[in-house]
Amino acid sequence: MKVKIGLEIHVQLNTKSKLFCSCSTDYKKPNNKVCETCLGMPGSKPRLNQEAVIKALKLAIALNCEIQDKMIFSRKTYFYPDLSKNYQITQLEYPLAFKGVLKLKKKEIRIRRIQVEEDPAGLQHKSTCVLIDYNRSGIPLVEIVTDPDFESVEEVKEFIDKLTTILDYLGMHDPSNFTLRADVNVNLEGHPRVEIKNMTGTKNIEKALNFEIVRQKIILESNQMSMQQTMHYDAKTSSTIASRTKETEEDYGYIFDPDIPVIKLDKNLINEVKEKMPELPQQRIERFIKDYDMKEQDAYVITIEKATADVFEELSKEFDNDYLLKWMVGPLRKVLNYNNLKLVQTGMSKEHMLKLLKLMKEETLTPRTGEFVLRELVVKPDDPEKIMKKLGFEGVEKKELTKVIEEVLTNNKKAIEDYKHGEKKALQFLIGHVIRETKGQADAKEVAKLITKKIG
Amino acid sequence: MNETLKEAKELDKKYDLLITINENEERGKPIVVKDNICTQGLRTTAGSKILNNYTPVFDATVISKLKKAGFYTLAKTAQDEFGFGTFSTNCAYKTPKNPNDVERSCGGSSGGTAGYIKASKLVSYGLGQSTGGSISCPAAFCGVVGLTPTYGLVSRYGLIDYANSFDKIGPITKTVKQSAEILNIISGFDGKDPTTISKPAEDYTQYCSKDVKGYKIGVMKQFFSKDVPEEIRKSLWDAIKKLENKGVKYEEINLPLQDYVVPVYYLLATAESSTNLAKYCGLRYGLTKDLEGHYNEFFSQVREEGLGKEAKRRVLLGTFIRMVGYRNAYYLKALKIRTKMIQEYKKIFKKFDALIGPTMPVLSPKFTEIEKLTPVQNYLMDASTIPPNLTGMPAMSIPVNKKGLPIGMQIIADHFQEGKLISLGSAYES
Amino acid sequence: MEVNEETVRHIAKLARIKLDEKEVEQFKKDLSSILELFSKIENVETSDEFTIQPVESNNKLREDKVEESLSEEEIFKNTKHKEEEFFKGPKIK
Repeated sequence: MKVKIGLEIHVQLNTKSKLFCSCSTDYKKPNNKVCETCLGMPGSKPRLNQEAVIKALKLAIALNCEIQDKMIFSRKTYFYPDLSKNYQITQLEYPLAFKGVLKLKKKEIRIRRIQVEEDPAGLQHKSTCVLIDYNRSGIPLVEIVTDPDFESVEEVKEFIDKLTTILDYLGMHDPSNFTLRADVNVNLEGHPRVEIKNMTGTKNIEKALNFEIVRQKIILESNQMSMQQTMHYDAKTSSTIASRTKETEEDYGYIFDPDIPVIKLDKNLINEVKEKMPELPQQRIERFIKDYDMKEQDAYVITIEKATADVFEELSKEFDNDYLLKWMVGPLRKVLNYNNLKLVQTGMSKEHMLKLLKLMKEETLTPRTGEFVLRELVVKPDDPEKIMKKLGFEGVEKKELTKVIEEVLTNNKKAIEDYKHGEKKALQFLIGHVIRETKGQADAKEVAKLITKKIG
Repeated sequence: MNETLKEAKELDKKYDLLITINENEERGKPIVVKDNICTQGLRTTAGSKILNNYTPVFDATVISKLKKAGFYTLAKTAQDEFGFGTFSTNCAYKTPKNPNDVERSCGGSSGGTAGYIKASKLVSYGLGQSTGGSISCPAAFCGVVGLTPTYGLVSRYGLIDYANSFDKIGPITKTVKQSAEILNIISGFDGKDPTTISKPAEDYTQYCSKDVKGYKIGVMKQFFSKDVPEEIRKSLWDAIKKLENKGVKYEEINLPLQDYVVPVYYLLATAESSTNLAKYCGLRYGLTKDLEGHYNEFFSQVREEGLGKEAKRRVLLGTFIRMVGYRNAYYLKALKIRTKMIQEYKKIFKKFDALIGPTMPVLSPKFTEIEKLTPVQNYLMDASTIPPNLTGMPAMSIPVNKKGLPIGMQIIADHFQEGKLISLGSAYES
Repeated sequence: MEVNEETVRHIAKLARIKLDEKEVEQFKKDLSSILELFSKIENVETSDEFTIQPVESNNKLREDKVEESLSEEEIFKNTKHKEEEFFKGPKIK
């Protein structure tokens, strides 16, 4: 049974000031970055932030959209405590762009439209009242609406990951302060559409979709009628729950916002922005494959985060590319994922990484001890040599190790004989000896390799 | 207490012109300000109960500019709630009485300002605001000068919105020159209001002594119909003849699309105002109640209590025409007609320097007469003042009689041609 | 055009204005007659061009610069509905 999914994604733009006023977008205490405009005080007027338009334009270009020649803001009127004016300034008939596309590994997802709008305030529900924080009121948002081209939750995840990477490359992504909210439409082909509103974060979106698809399948299999409805996702129970119909009956009564002049997006402006576009992820993947002779899969992995790709390019100038690449797509990625961190979120500098790599290459650190140092480096960045010493990995130099091995072999000729006669335990015995002699510093695998090489 | 403050209290007692008096004895030149213009620290209600305890924390740009030029706000004047009205009878606080005849209306919605400027011996400067004619109408009924600037010439920052694409702040004064002085101070591009226009600054007072010889005037025929009282028509023609003696040439013209100005205006203005008034719901400022019950109930009750009948009527109307299914035929259609009107008027001003006609089709009506008007009859009263407000063009109303109830002459010019209004107005005055 | 009570109640709900039965009746009459007046606009021939502001502004957009926000005293000056640093509103659920 085919599944059809469409997304409406809201991304906050990382401008310094809000969309329609000069309040800072960097807020700490509740209600401390608000003014008469984002509080909706009578007499205040909206003033459009140029940088928000430029950023939205860059995103639309990166998603291969048709940029319109003019953009008009509209008022979407409805009453809710998170709207400081009881209307949201958004776009209806004249959004920034139409008709884009984002390529996934196996298909293309069509982007229906991209629009700019303001974020409402933040709400905290209590039993007898609601607490409102207007810091978020007026933060610039870009809304990306796709066609219902997704056929699986995996595709949705791939899309969101790719979108996140594009935002990263456009300098519009701060992983420690990134919220992606989405409404999704999902239905089994031929059956009514269900809308799940207002989910935050990829994990919730995936969970909600998985739950909802199963729910719809069950209904169908038990020969019941499925309904077109609106739902929301309850993270506590990991399930989708029908919203009260009252909340969905609004007629938003759109008008063009008469406080905001029509914004002309002339060809010169668009070309200027296009020319200044940074390299996008796909372009970088292609460049890495060509210039570094990389396999596509490696190129893909290493370019997911812009910082990782940047570090690779810089370190590749002074370090063995293959070794570097292997380490970055292997241990580095593993440790970052384990800590749920992006490279930019660690305080690790490329000097740190370079030093660590050198220590490993010259075998002062083994792959095993190197990874221990990396784990520490990621959460508490410091000089890798210091960390090495702190963790007690003085390291065994290869020369010394070879000496110790020769000594042990010389003194344990019987064990060598036993091993040659098929006694595997004899090898373990020899390895154990070496490790004891090096006070636990030597790496077992490394030692095994060297011993077997020596004794054949 | 200084003389100005004393007079303010007396005039208010006599004519119910003021909502809030600034009790601080300030220094400088006093100006009375319509109560929908935000004055920091001084209560601002827009004539509505829903803002009866609202004190702005910022000054409107026009107020800041006036302060820099040595003015201070003496008082906030009575007005129709949010500007909804032609007679200032929709004020939640008091209904201002015409100083020429206290049984009659001051006109609206800037009735309090116009009435004050007429009655005061000490204050000659006032600020009004116009959406569909709310500066011209009270100026005509009270017998003072009212200047409605081009849309975008004066910043609306700090003006409590009625209809954002129509609202303008303008001076109401005793003489044309005084209006020009105020215009000098309050006009100009303001970064806080992106609908204001960047243009080189002008000294509007220089137009006071400009020769009007050779000016071509279009006399707006439709406003001289037999329904209009004889004395209005006579006073206007006398005024036109006076201008003719100063070298002005005139020709009668028919205004295009005049049948449609009232519907188009009210459609667009109520559509916009119904969204502007959505914010008044008891949160963060204004009339409120205890936080009991669900938010929809809370909002509905606050608005039911705080909004007057005309405000409700306009909000309901504006909400209706924005609805899916009606929006195309009403709201979007009206926007398209507006374009056509502006194009037509631009053509007219290629031929004429200005248009002239009576500001209002009636003399200031009695309150008892106003009570009998239906909503539609009320709206049709604006037929003569709406055209320049719809097209964003500047207009001036200047009194043209000395005896009897005041009669106003309306002069309309093309965008940014306030100078012509001032020249003609001054020429008439002198 | 005729507007009925049902419509008036619906609009009143959208606009969050509580009306009693008398008011519903009154506004029904008012709106019907006003819309009657409005209906003539369908006779005007128009192109697709529409005007939002009557005078076109010629300005640049606002630079992305942070300016000082309001103080705590200023933002809460006009309301009593406050809890710690939050504004308080009526419950939603």
